[in-house]
Amino acid sequence: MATTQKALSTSNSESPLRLAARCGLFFAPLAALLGFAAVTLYVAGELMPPRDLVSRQAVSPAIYYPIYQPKSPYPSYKIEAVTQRRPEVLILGDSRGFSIRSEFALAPEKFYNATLIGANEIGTVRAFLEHLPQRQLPRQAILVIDPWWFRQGAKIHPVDDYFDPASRMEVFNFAWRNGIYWGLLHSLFSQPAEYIGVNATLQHAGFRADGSFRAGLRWLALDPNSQSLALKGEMDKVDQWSRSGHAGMSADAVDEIRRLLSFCKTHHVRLIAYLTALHPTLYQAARQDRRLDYFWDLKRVLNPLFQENGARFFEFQDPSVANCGAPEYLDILHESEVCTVRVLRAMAQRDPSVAEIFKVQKFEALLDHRASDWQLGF
Amino acid sequence: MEEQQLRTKMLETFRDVFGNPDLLVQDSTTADDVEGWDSLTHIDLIVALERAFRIKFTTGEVGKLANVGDLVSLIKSKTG
Amino acid sequence: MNFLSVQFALFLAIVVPGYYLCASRRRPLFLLLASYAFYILSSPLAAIGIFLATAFTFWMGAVIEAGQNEPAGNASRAPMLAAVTLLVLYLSFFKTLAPLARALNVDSASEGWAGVLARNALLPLGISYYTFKLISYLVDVYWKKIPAERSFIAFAAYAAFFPQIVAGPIQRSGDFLEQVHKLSPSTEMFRSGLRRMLIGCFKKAVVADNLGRLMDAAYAAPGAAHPSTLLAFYLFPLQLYADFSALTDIAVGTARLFGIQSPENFYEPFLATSISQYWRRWHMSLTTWLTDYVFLPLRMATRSAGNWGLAFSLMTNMILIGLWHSLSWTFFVFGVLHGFFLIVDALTSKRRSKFFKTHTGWDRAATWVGPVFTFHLVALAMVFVRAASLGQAWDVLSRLRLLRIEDTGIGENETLYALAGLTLWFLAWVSLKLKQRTWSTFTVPAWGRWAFYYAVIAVIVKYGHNAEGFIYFKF
Repeated sequence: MATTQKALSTSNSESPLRLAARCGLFFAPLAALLGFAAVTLYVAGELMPPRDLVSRQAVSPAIYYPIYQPKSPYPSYKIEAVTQRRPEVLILGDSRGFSIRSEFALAPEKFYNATLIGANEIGTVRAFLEHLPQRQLPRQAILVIDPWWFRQGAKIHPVDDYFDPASRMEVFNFAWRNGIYWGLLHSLFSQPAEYIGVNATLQHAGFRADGSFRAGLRWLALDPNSQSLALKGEMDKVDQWSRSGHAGMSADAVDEIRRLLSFCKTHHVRLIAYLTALHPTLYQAARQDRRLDYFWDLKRVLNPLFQENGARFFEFQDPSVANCGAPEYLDILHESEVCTVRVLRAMAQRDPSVAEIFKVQKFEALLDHRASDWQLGF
Repeated sequence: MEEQQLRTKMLETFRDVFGNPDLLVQDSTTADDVEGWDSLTHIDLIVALERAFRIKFTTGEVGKLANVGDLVSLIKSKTG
Repeated sequence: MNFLSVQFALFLAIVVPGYYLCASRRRPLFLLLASYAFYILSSPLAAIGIFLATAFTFWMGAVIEAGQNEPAGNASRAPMLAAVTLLVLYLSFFKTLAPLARALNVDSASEGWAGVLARNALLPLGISYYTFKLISYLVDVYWKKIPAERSFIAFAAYAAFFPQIVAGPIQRSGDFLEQVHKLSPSTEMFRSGLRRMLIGCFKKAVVADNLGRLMDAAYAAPGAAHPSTLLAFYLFPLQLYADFSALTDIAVGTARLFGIQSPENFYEPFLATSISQYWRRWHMSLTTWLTDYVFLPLRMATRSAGNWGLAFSLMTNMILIGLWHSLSWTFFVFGVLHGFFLIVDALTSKRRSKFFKTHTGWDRAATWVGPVFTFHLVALAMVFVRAASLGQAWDVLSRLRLLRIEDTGIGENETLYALAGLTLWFLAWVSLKLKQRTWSTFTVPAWGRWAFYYAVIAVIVKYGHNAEGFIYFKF
């Protein structure tokens, strides 16, 4: 039987103008709410596109740390920063390297820290370099390696749109429900304009113009009890091989390092890579977990590859090597700028040519004049 | 064939296909009105009617049927 | 453009008043322009595709009709077959891109053309829906169900009509074109459209998307110390129903804002007493399309082959339903399963109805056993819809156990919201059904209605699922 779709009869029970007025009245409060959320998010700096952000940071010392983002804003932000600043020395890797500051470098204005929060895939490093205009590749790249990039079954490449910024509309669509937050509003209008983004406003933390991360209020209270919870969290996170069922190092990840080395060689980028010092508690726990044995095997596998390609590799995972203590860590995973100075100093001791990049003579003074265990004096 | 003969024969076929000896249909009856008449049994009905009247339907003709009245007209046009 | 987004709300806020502000004879053109604006905002490049396919179909419709007016022979059959074949190839081409990339084992980081293939293996927006609309038009003209459309504007509006482009329903050309030529929106239709959209938003955000979290967890690690696959087995059909009927609600509601009635897609599908009845109540616009344009012609062609012909037609039909969703093995198995269920159902239906006529006790039991049994068949086939691969489907099916209640994920906030939403929805449906009433027959003062609407909106905003986003709270 032919399927029929009947049209309903229409009947006008209300005048269209009256309906339009009532609809307007009904939706007005919702529109106002959305408008209010838009204004709040805009004033807070959550809706700022990368270009404006970088320009703003170039003229005044503001720090950037947004919260309500549908996808990570940092890749596009840092690509833009590198494009505008044209650094000769570039720091790459995950957030574990975000405390390397321009003031440590011989030429601060030619330095940029392009480490990305949450860069869990090893392929992000080469992808970042490939996204830069070819003429703007740095002369010197320093890569902070995460050992878990090499776990068996780890994902190698970031997602396709990793370096594309979310549009303002997408951010707003994701964030508007959270834009209606009175506490935020109070902070927004009582804080100086040096904070861009809700997290920056609330925590006084964020990325500086040189790409390094300023850790703020949050670290003042490192509760010892939360350490064990955090440790468990990190141990679960850094190694999920219990799901993939294999032990050992990922050959695909080692291949990616080969590709990175080859890229750097071809484009005349001098590369230094290192495994930075683990938090003492994390180090102890990792040594006891057999599943993480590949951590200690990385030097043996990677060093020769780096040598072949004229690059350099360092291993500082044991915190006692660089003399880093637990109070010098922001949390169980991230070292503070104090610890970073120690690691760089240890690197300089092994390789004098590091003095061509960093102000190694000044390191002692920096450590002597630090403001606290985990903060330098500036 | 006379119309009344046609209708009687058609009704017999309906009753047989749908297993309901008391079934009655009018020109305005559609598939929704008869229990068991769906797209699956529809073709059983078509096949039975083709056999009963010794005619052949095309897919297009079958697809266009909206009610029993259409069916009657269609059979009429094919039996001369 | 996502239906549940600020972008879509803004789009409507501009387009709806614009529609009413323009002269009524210009409204079909306005609908066309609005639909293309929607399409271009979502995927600019693919807009070329829909335009070309529409223009081609419009032209071929005229050619087919001209062929019918030829005195000698059937000059319209060849153009119809050629045009339909081209449209099918067009659809198949885009549908094979993604599976091809998978089969060749390339991904977006691959070098050269392989990477290009993987990065662009996206289906153009609504291609499955509008291609089916175009094919149905050509066949209907060929069968002389409708005359070829004279106005390109009306026809192009039919193909691209934005409320229906995202997820259907697949409206027939005759139905839409008849309405678009005498658009007469009423205030009652407008208000019922808004209500329908509200219901859809509730179902999608509060029920469907929140349930999604449970499903993700269950399917990601079936049986491995985590959520109950058994719970996922029973809840997935409900999630899919909530999700899809919500999208239909929003589509139908939005269309009503412009005075267009759309066909329905769902009619109490889980009350179906047999699998064949289920398919008359689930995704109705698609199943009626396939019945009219695939099953019926196939069955007519094989009618002399008796039950074999029936089995062949049913199996082909259901496999096509599966593959229409996606060209993958899981959907193929889905189609085969339903084909098998329907064949068994069709072959035994006469015997069953004879049995129930003489055993009234069994008949009464069948009124509730039927739906329960049918639900299980549906849930079984749906595992293949949700699973990413045959292996994962097997993992889930072979590990259907409840485990401890704490492991089921039932305590998670999202699941609770979803179940609460589901309960509310069910209660609302029951109360309307018991009283045999529809929404508009309730006499509640305006402030009462508004308070209720605001309450629903508040629930959607507060308890509706928000995507995870990038919330790296580590520090």
